[in-house]
Amino acid sequence: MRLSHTILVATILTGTALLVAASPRLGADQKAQKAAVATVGQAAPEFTLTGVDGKIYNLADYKGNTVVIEWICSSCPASGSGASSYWGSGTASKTVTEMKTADAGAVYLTIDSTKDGHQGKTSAEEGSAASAVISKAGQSVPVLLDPDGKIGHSYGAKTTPHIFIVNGTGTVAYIGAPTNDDGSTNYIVNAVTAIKAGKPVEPSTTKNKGCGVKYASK
Amino acid sequence: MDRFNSTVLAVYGTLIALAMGSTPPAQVVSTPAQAVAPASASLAPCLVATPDGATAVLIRFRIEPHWHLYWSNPGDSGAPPAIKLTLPAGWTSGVTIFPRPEILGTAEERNFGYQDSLDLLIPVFGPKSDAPSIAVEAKVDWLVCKTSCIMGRATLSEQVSISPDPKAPQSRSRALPVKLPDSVRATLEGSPTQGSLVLSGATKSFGTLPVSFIPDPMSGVEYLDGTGPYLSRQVGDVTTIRVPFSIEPKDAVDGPPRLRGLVLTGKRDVDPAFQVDLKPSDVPAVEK
Repeated sequence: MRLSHTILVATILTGTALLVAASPRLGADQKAQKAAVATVGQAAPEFTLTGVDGKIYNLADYKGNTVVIEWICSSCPASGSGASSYWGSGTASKTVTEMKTADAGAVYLTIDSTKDGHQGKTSAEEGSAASAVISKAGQSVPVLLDPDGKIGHSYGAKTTPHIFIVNGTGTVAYIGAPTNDDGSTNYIVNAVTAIKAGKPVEPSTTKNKGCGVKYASK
Repeated sequence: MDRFNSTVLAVYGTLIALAMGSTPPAQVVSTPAQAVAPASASLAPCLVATPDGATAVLIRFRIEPHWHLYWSNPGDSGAPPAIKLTLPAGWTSGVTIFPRPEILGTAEERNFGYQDSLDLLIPVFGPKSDAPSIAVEAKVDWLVCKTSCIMGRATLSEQVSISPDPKAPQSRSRALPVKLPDSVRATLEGSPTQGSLVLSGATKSFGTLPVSFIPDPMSGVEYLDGTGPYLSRQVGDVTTIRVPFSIEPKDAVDGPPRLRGLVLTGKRDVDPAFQVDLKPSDVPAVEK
């Protein structure tokens, strides 16, 4: 009887202690749960994807370089379709050029997570169309294919465009939009410049806008 | 909802209807490649009243079936309509007022937006004058989506009258956000940069059930349980919504961070929506 009483008291005390210890960490735990997707300050999810050009791209191969990753879709008017889109307006091309000026070693990649069948195209056809949009803008930037959406989901990519910047140590340094609403502030170029200078990236997160990524069903 | 708010909404609805009047829209712009554009915008020929008694330019969107436009926080994807007004010398404009949005999409991709039609109000402020009208130009950009999205753009010009037109077709009614009732208390658990906003009050204070919160994040403010909606809990006669947040001041590129969003009551577009717009350091701590 005394033993079970002792166990009961110990259990209550331990449980209470755990609850007390856990309470102040509520926010931190919730953030940790969110870390199932890419999070600023955490290691970037690794990926190995095939590009439209047939080459294999590993994030790990770019250790030491800053990597800008953009989710893209050729048929989205915020991303690749039409004169006012990120690529069609020339903003993306200017960004890539200015990024290279800020840091010649920085790498710009795009990932297309559009599912098979969206707008009657296979994922590969959509990726090729995205690549054509980039070429038309005068840039040579790889388009990596993610037809099952696994990498998109691992990053938490929601829109096209949606930008993730990974620093040379493989840590996520920025997540959000490429620019502010009127285009007067280029968050990508600012982030790459800050990383190159060894300074903190500010802002490190912004609100992304654009079409939803057309993922295959999970 | 208190009587004042009900009255304001009723007056607002009437004035909106009157403002659109029998006069044809100033300009309707369509996407050339489409036989029927998924959305088009027009500028009302009269100023209208806002819930707080200011006057506003009214931009009305017509939205084709199955397409939608977006609230100021579009949710997981999308973008809200952007409006840039050009007004006569001495006139200025305020922040666009979005009506209560619908909750669209799925739990995986949650959006807040509008189907069928949308009226946006842009408050305007000018000198006292006997002039019957003012010249208004509105450059309007919008993203309209179904399974895919299309960008729309219009430049609308109109001599906008101060007096409403007495003949009017009715637009789909949507509640405009009004002040949170005094009987609903906002308190803070944790610190002003990491904690939970707690909105609590007697269930009858909220009026219609269910009650939920949808955030309208400023830069630098992250709502930790995702896009929303944040559902209320009812214990006894008290209804409470708890909204965990985190603030990174260095990310606040749009000015000092504030906790913003809407408390939605009921399920209909006309059911009251209460505006939340709080400076975290001004919110009192939860009483223990």
